Parts: sequence; structure tokens; C-alpha cells
Amino acid sequence: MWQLADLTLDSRLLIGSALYPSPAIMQQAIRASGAGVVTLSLRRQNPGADGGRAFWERLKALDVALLPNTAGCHTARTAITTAQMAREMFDTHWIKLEVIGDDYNLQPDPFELVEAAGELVSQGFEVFPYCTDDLVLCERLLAAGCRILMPWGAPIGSGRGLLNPYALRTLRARLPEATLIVDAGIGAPSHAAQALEMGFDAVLLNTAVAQAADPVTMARAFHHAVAAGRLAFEAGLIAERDSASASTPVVGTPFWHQS
Amino acid sequence: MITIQLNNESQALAPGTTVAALITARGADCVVVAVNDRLVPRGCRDGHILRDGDRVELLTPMEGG
Repeated sequence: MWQLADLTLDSRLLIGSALYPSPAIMQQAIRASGAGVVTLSLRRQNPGADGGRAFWERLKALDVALLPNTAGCHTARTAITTAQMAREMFDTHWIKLEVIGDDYNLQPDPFELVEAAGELVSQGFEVFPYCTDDLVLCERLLAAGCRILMPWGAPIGSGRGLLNPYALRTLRARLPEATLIVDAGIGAPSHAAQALEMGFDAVLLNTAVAQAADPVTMARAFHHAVAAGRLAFEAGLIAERDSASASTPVVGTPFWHQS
Repeated sequence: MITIQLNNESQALAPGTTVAALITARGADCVVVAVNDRLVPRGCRDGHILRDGDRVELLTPMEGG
């Protein structure tokens, strides 16, 4: 069990609700993942489209906390309005704050992000900022009132894993009180395990499960990887070394002679 | 008649149309609304009369990562 803001959770996996082959597979995959928190979004209502309703009915049937996002926002102003609309729609003060600064790699705009975070915290939101792994940006977000930070592992949907382990380790070491969640870029269960082994509190992912050949089985794989990574962190990993060190005791080695 | 921008498309409305009436006419039962980039809370929809040139965003739950 662990604490995420005001919620006690079993799983350290947070999962997205997009890009699945169907709403039914989305529902099965989320169940298989064991995730207690699911991200979702708001989009323009289209009277001719029913796909959104099927998705929403499936998601409501799951016993999970909702984490709405502000995906698609490029300014603090639009992100703040979107967050307010999400709070009314989903009856939650949690918001995954996304303010994109570059459309090529979907990199967050740090300046707009800090501005929006400060305003939303003042309005009573629990802000989960999607940010880069820049230490100073993360410190500014904490100063703005965030308790949770979600640095990227790699650009959204890239599946490239933890591109800058040094920066992520630095965040963990320098910000011991913050809840740190690697968000975006995770492509394989081993990437998720690596983040947890480093001491990150959780991971948030979507594409790696939703776009897998078998999303439900992949969700189960991530469930186990996250649990294994956390256990390894709690157990304490050995230090790396440059030279070999025999694991079999050398005392009593047969056929050994002093040369 | 007045003209508003509803989800980035022009729509003609009778003068005096409220946000609540617009939602009903649209057949939308699970939405949140912003007018000119400001949230119109549920409790204010009946009393919010739309004006010529208003930009209305009518949003509904959608998948997200």
C-alpha cells in the first residue's frame, strides 16, 4: 500500500485510457493492470459520434480514481479553464497538468506549466504536472505548491524508456519528499521496473499497453514489473563495480594450487 | 438571430437562448461548458444568456493518456 495525495493505493501503476482497440479491451486491460488510477480527457462533444459514450460507460464501471488531463493545451490560460471543466465533469480536484511547448516531441512548456500549477493549487487542485526531468523546473513546481511531479522518461508514445537516468536519479536524490512518477516514454515492462528500482514512487503509461499486440496480457506484465521494481528498491540493490567478484566461495576450490 | 461559435463551428440561435437551452437542443446530457474561455458551472446554465459572437466550448469525456 502507498499514499498518492489523499488516496491509499495497492498498485504503483497508473494507466491511460486511450488508444485501445476497443472500449471492451480498454476495460479488460485496466483491470488486468491492477492500476487504481486512470487518466482520461475532455474533448469537443460531437452529436454524431457515440464512441465517447461507450468509453465512458466502460470506465465508470471500473472501481478506479480518475485523473483527468489537460492534453492539447499550449497556454496556462487554456489549461486552467480545462482543469476547471474537468473538475466539474469528473467531480475530482485531481488534474494531470499538461501544457505543451513543442508539437514535435510534445515537450512541456516549463514557464506556462509553473504559472498554471501555481494558479490551480491556489484554486484547490491537486496538481500532477507532466514535466521534463529538469531539476530546477521541478523545484519551481514544488515551490508553486505541487506535491507530486511527473517527469517524462522519454517523449510521449515514443516507447524509448528512461532516456536520462542521471537526471531522474538526481531528482530522486534531491527531492526526497516529493511523490515522483515517471510519466511518458515507457515502452517495456523493464523500463517500468527500472523506474521503480530507482526509487520512483510510480509510473504512468498508456501506449505501451494499449498498442501492444495483446493489451490485456501486456497490462498484466506491467503489473508484475512495477511490483518487482518496487520490491527491488525496498530490498536494496547492490552497488555496481567494474571488476568481477566470484560468487562461489574460493575456499576449498578443488584442483587449485599456489603458483 | 445571433451567431455563436459552437465547438469552432458557426451556429445561429434565437436571441435570448441560454446555455441550458443550447445543451438541450444539442441532445447533450454529459457535458461541461465554457463560454469565451470561462467555465459556466452547472448551476448557472439556466441564467446564462448567450450573446452574438460568443465562443462556446461544449466538452464531453474522452479517452486520454
